[in-house]
Amino acid sequence: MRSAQQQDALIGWFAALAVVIHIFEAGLPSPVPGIKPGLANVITLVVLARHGLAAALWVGALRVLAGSLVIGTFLTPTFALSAGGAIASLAVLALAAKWNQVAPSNAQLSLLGMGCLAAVAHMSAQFVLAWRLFVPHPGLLSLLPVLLLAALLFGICTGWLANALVREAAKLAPPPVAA
Amino acid sequence: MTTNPQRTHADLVVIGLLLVGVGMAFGQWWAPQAGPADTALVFVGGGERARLPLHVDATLEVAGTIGISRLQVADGGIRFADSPCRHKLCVRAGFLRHGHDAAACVPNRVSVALTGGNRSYDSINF
Amino acid sequence: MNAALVRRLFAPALILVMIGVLVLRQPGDPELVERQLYALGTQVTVSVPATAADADIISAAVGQVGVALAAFQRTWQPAGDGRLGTLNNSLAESATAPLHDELRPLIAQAQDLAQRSGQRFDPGIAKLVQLWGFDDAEAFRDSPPADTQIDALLDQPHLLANARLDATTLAAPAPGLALDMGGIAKGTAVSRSLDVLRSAGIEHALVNAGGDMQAMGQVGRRPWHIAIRHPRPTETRRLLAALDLRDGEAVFTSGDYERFFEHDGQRYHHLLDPRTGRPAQGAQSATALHTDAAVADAAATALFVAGVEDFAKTAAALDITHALLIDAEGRAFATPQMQQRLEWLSNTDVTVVELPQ
Repeated sequence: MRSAQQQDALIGWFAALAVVIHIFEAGLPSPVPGIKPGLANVITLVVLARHGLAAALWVGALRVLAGSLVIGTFLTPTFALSAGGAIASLAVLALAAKWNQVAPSNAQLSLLGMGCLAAVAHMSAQFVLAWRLFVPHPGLLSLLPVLLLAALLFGICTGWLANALVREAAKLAPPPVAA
Repeated sequence: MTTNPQRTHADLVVIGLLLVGVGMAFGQWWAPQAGPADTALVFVGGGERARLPLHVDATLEVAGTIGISRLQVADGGIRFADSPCRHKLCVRAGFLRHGHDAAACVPNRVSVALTGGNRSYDSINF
Repeated sequence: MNAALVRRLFAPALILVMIGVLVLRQPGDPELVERQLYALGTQVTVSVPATAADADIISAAVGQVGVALAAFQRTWQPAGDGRLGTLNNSLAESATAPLHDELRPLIAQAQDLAQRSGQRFDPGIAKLVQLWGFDDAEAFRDSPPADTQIDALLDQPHLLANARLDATTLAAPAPGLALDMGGIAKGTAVSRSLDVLRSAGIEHALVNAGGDMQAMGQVGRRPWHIAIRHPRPTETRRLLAALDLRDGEAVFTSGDYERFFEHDGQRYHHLLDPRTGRPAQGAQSATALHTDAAVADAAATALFVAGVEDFAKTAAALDITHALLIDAEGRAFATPQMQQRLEWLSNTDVTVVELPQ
């Protein structure tokens, strides 16, 4: 069993890594506003698999807070969108983790399914927030299907990547909480 | 708690369900926005030369780099009626009527782009 | 992702997306069948999605609408020997007149709206409308009537709000009241038209009477999509905003461009302020959305007369949550719920006005 300090340090490291990816992504040009790969979620997923739900929630929350502080969007509309998306995707991840605890082994989700659920939840929440709070424009609704499709495709990518990373990590070090 | 880092059947079911959801979102909300346009923008050498409402029939002659292009607005559309180019590709493009439609007489540096493209309406309130 | 997995996922994924699209797209976006008729002194357009009924049924039903509207118009003609004409003739002779059962419900509703709107809408102004010449589209004046003539009419009873209604009579404070239901009857007429269509088995239709409309059902799988014309249109800017109308919703607009004449560079339009007897100042148009078309009709008039200053107060008094006003300078004022529903098509400076609780 790890000490609380070790656990905090671990969360800190992963959150920092996620923030770096988050900032990197914020600098990427996006062909359509609102579509982003969400690579930072890979970190959240990996932490979920290796260190459990609580750690993953911490990393996800810290990533949004610290990321927005670094980029300078803290408490701006962008932050509200980012936080709303993060809350929704973390909530869905938490539900999926609970599901894995109770579901029979052949109905369990890997990070692939979880990543897709999280990505779609993230996008849906952001869209609803943007639509309700900022631009209640009926025309925006026609963008939603495209955004959702993009979210799902990126969710497949991040979920697959997270699975691969966890497999590689398991070769280097056994999962710490799987005892 | 462990999470299996291998793809599972449940993953595929989840992805399938999400895909159906996305498909339904397309069915529900996806609306290609190119309705009938209402204005034609005429450019010469990249600069806007004229704006023509498409509901008023008219002809317009614009001088380009090699001669005069003649534009005709009729029936809510616009076309190159004539142009001093060799292949007349612009003339063959015919009438443009929808938002984001465009045609150009490249040799003469004259182009036309349509804007507006609002969906049409079931009824008008006034 | 390894290549075999991509291949295995790709085809089912594509098929699933296509099934999803097809299942929901199947009914498509039906064509509208449109029929026109002239009634209530204006052009009435009935639109029915082609999927909602056969063309023959639609034509026959629209014929019935025409018959119903002609009868409705006879009843509510302010002059002549129709029901309302008869009432107005009696009220000219005496303060109290018998009120026919056919007139009572709409007159009672009009009185309620007149009172709640603070007389910004009031059908009691028939004689003023006549004096200004707005009762006859063929014979507009070319100059305003003399102030003395207007003031003489304002000294007579000219407000339905001040009359007393009971089961069988209408009692004005003195002889001389005359009613012109122009600001509310079109609403009732439009919803009667929908009733006629419904009883002919048509469940989806939109009736537009001279620009004012009410929707029933929807167009295939989507709501009715309508646009509000700009009160000061130009060649490139004809529409003000677009709006989706849900089942039962009516949209009415009162504008100073509908019936007017100009004299010495000033516009004199048909929307008289019942309190002054003169065209209301300060607005180009007012639009109200409500599920009772008669309320929407009266509210559009009342909100126009109210202007910016009394816009919120008047809307709240009439239980109108969706309203829009374009002031004399072309600025837009919308209730929060209206703003949410509107898709602006012109670059308009919009102020959202909260309604008092």
